[in-house]
Amino acid sequence: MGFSLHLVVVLPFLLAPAVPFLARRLGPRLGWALVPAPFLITLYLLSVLPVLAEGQVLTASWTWAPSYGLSFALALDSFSLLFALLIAGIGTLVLIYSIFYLDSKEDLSRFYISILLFMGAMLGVVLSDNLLALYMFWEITSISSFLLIGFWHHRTESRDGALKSMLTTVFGGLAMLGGILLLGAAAGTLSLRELGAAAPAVAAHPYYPAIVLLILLGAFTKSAQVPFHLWLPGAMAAPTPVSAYLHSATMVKAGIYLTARMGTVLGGTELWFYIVAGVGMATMLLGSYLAVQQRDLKALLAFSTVSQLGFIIAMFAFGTAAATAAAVLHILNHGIFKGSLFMLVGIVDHQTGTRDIEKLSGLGSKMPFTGTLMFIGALSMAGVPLLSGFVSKEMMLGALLNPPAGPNVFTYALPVLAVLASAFTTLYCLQLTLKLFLGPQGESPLEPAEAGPGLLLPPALLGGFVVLLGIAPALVEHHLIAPATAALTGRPSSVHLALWHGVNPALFMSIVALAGGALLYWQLPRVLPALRRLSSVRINANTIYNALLTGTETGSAKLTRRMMTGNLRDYLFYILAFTALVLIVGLVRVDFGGFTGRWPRLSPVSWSELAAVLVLIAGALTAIVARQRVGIALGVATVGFMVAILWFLWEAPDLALTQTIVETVSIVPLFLAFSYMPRLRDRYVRPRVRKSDVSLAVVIGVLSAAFTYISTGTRLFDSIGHWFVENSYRLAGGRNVVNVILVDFRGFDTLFETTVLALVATAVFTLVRSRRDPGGAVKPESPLMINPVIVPAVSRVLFYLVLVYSLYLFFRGHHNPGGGFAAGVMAASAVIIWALAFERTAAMKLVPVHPRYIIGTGLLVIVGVGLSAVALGYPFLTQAFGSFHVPVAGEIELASATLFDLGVLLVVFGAIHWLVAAMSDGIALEQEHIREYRARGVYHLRKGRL
Amino acid sequence: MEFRLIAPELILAGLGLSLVTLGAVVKKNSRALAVVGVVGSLAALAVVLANFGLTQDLFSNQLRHDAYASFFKVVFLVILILLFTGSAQYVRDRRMPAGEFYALTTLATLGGFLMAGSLDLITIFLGLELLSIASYALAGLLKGDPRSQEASIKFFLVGALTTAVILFGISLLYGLAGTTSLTGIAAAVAGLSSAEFPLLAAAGLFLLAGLGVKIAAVPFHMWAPDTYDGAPTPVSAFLITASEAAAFAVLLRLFAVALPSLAERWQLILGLMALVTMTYGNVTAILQTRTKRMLAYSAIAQAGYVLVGLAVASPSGVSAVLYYVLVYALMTVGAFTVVLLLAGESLGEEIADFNGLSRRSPLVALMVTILMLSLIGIPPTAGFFGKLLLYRAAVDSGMVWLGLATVLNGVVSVPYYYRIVRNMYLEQGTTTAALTPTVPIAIVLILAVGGTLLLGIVPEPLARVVAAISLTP
Repeated sequence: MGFSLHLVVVLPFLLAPAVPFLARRLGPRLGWALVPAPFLITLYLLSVLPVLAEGQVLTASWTWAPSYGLSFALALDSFSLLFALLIAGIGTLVLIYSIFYLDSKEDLSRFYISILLFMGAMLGVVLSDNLLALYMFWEITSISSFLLIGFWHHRTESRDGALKSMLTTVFGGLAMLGGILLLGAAAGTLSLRELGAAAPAVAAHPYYPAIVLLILLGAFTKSAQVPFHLWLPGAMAAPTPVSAYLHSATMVKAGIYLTARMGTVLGGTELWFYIVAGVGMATMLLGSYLAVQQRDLKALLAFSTVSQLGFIIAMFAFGTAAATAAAVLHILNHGIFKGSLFMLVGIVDHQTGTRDIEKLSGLGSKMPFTGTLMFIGALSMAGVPLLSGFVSKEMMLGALLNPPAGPNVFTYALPVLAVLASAFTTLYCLQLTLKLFLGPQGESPLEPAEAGPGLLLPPALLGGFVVLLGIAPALVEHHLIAPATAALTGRPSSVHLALWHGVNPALFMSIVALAGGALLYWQLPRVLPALRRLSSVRINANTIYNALLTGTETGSAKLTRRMMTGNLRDYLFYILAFTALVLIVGLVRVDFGGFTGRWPRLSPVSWSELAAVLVLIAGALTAIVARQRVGIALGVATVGFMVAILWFLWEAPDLALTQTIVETVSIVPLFLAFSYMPRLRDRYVRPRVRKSDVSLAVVIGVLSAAFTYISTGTRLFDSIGHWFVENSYRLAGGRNVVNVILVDFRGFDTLFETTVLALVATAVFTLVRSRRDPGGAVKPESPLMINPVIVPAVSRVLFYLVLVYSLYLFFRGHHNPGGGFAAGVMAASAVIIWALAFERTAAMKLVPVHPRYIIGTGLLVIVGVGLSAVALGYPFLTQAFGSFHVPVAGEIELASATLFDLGVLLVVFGAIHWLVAAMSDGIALEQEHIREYRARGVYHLRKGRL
Repeated sequence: MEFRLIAPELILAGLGLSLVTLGAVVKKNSRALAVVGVVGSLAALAVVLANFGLTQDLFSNQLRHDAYASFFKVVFLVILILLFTGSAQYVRDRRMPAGEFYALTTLATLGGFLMAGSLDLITIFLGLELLSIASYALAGLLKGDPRSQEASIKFFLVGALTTAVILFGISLLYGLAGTTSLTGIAAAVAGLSSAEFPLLAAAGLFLLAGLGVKIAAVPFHMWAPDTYDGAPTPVSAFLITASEAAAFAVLLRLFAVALPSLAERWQLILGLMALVTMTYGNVTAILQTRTKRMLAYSAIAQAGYVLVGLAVASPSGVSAVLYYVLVYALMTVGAFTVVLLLAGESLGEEIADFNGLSRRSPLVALMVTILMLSLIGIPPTAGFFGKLLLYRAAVDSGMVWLGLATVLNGVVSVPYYYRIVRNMYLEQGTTTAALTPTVPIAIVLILAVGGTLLLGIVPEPLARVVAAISLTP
């Protein structure tokens, strides 16, 4: 049993992927192969009808994603069965109808795939017990209906309609998802069957109003309730079988299904009553009022659907047994007569070539069957006795008289509004019948002729039901309507369906509505222009939708223009400004008030320190105001060297040495690069911009200084430095703390730091890409050759001195300032000296190996040292040390760390070497490269905002 | 043991360096490099998966090998493998320096590995720089294309500024706690009196701003569209997925392990940041006409979604982020691979280039549709479950408004994702010639789209994996 229940939902999904293959085999007969699926589902549903009528509920559950609270749990009671029957039954008829309706040249497989997906999803919606699963199927109906509505994609209105319906229903669906999840949080379950018991807890929960609003948003958008009704007329661009299926019997009913189900959990409060009844009745009136004014027959039917759905939804605001039974019956009736009406309008369109009501009249003689069926359907909708619509409509009108809240203006207004709306309903039903089929023949593009039996059969079957149910409503009472009502209200239904309910207020209301409608139709030539005038001044929902859309777009454009200027200065400014802003606001807001602060006790400042700092500031200022690159570079260099001097003053020679060397080596490539760069232009900066730049710089500077100042006072813990100083020799056998940190304590970091360095070299080389090897010919002569005689002579000496010094630095490094890093930079600077003095080509030739391989070797050494520790059974990168006494050089530490250090040296040397190589000859080639690239035409430059 | 746990990093480092070298040797054959790259990454992936369940602190607490780091490593490697597979033709067509491209991407991934596993500010910084420097160069690999050059230089200068900001934050934190170890900082911060709190907050803010730039969160996002649009397509995909994921990995661990008190106090700030970021990204994406630029703004919006998981400051938030990061990587790599495919015929730069795609290749059009649905967050796709987890994390932490904002933001994103779908199905293209993907691109598309769909239909296994991952032992 469980499996067959799942099969009901799964079968269409299984069939959909097979459609393209069937299409290839069957061609235009594709439709016939698919009809059995919904038909079998209908038969199955009918077979369980008696069981369910006794109040049983069929359930089946597959686990899906318990972490999300999602399960593929199905529950079939009589209320769900009603919907499922409509979906599968009308689905069968629509499939048959579409076989005759669609041209075989159309993309049939796309149509049938979409409609099968839609059918499966709809069945999923009405059978799901798990609300999350319901939501998932809900969204699949949105997507598949989007595909169906946009089926005739060459028509503009088709696309706009598809987008509008997609946006509206996706919005509603997401809101509903929010509501469902809040409901789950409030009730502790997502199972529909268990939610009923949690209803009191939910109503008392603080989330309750949000839950109601969000879930109703979902239901209202799907059922096209005010103010979301605007997507439905647009969706009429769909092929008629689609409209007949989606917009009469199925998709729009999903909202009703949800409202009805949720009514059992969320209903019974004033909030629920006023929102649901208010929206429902407003929709009913507005829908019928708009339907009257339409010229397109399908649009007329669309608004009529909106109106009828509003009426049904309002019933679920009441929640009484009578109202529920009336609604349940009307759901069935509406599905049947509206389905047939859509198909009939489709036939008219198909046979005459137009759906314009102004052009059509007097079709009765040429299309007698169509006309008869249209009369049956439309009069049933109007609520004429002996037809099914009369019974349910009268019950609904009667239910309006017993509201659960009030009495107040609102509850008194409801019946009046309903009668007024019903009068309009009568009016458009008369338009559909009298105007269309009686009187003189109009001018249609095609000569009207009766349709073939294939097209007529489905609406004829539906019309038969309309008559049958009208004469003998008791037919469905026991097996469907009564148990479905009971399934919702939770009590056995005492409702009795009959054609004649006796003389009561509801009958009186029916008569007024019918008579009023007839009166209006009689005066139609005067009524219609008056109504249209009224509509033209009103702000309709479409303008709101358009305003929202354009508003978002202009907002988007403004935001983009304002922030995304493409100017880097602006970007940096924004980033810093926001950081400063958040810093200031955040601190003031959070608890700056509570900050007592421990102001640091400063050690006395020596004159030399002060001097160094002043020079440093001067350097920074120079860098800002300098008009030439050399000046800027010197300014920056000054800052660096002054920091180095401060290290000396604070007795950290290892740091100072490292800093000095790094500064030197990083300045030289700058100078090398300058000679290839264009002159620095004096760019005009608007005073306002300059001012804001300066003030932001000051703010950031002050903030940083303040935080640094305060943080030195808040030293809560011993400096980690002490630990390194104390343990450096004991654990690692070195006295140069920087070096020990590099090769031992943080050897792992160093491994990756050297990788970063190698990467930097690669990156720079890639950016200023030189396509020749560094040893190859380089065009420009060294521009920094100041004196052709003295400089080379001095450099030759200097070169060897520096090299020797770098070796010295390397070997003493473990105890004294120096080490692999410093040595590597030193050695590289020797090469730079050579490059400055002679040709760079010559300098590159000094080292016969490509820098790539030097770097690679270095990294290999480092990893090798680490791995050899592993091989000896120690953790990765464990170091061993011991010392040897060597004459002249003194004590030499030959730790494994020394090897490691050698690796560092090689990487550093290789990287800088490569950098200089890339800088020196890369830039000159750049221009040539770009020209060549453009000439090849590989890439088109498009104009556009960057 | 340490060696085994660090093996994936060593493999990547070795792979990166050998790719540089190989690149110099086999100049013409970029496909060979791609094959080497894919094989190496697969090897690393195998090791990461083999080590997945192991938890251990390495190298005196500088690195932590745990499921959290492993998950991110899997994500990085999946991205790397898919991109390497799909980009060989693009690299050849655009005459990108192949060796550098593959090597730098590998090394950037290594940076991501370090970031995901770091338990120390120094190591975090190291990983960040490794990733960033490689990225600057990668963005500029289209030599002679001014867009690419601009992307690179903007990225570099903004990145340099960011580095300074982050370093300042690190030094403040060090000054306060006396250690750079995250666990050490946590212990120090726990004993902090309210008088010292502003300093802690300032340090945290600097770090947040710096990492905020990396994830392109509003208001630190301006560089992102220019860079993602101008960079070579595979690089854009890498930056949007892997680079941002790595920054998230650091942010989450930083706040969960070192600064839990800040994370709790900043729920509102981070929540607002998430809200503004997602809304801004979605609204500005609507008007874009260039594909990559649109995807760049979409990336900003998606970063906003992920920020929700950070803002809620709870274990379920962490799980949600993990889930979303993987799913987002699949969707985005898939989308960019389609751009790569179109780039094969000098198309794909403009959204209008998708016109009529459904007639040229129905299957590709269908795949794009699935990806777009997933990016919006519509079932049955993986994106839906990703958002669902984020939403639930928000509601469970009492931030209902943020959860609802996340869900409803999907609506704002519909128009621009929809436009691609509409163009494919409803517009006439300039050509109707059949479009057949090359085998590697087809493989990537099948994996990415299949994954997106599979995780949307069978979400449970991955949900269990991420639910079991926790940052606080």
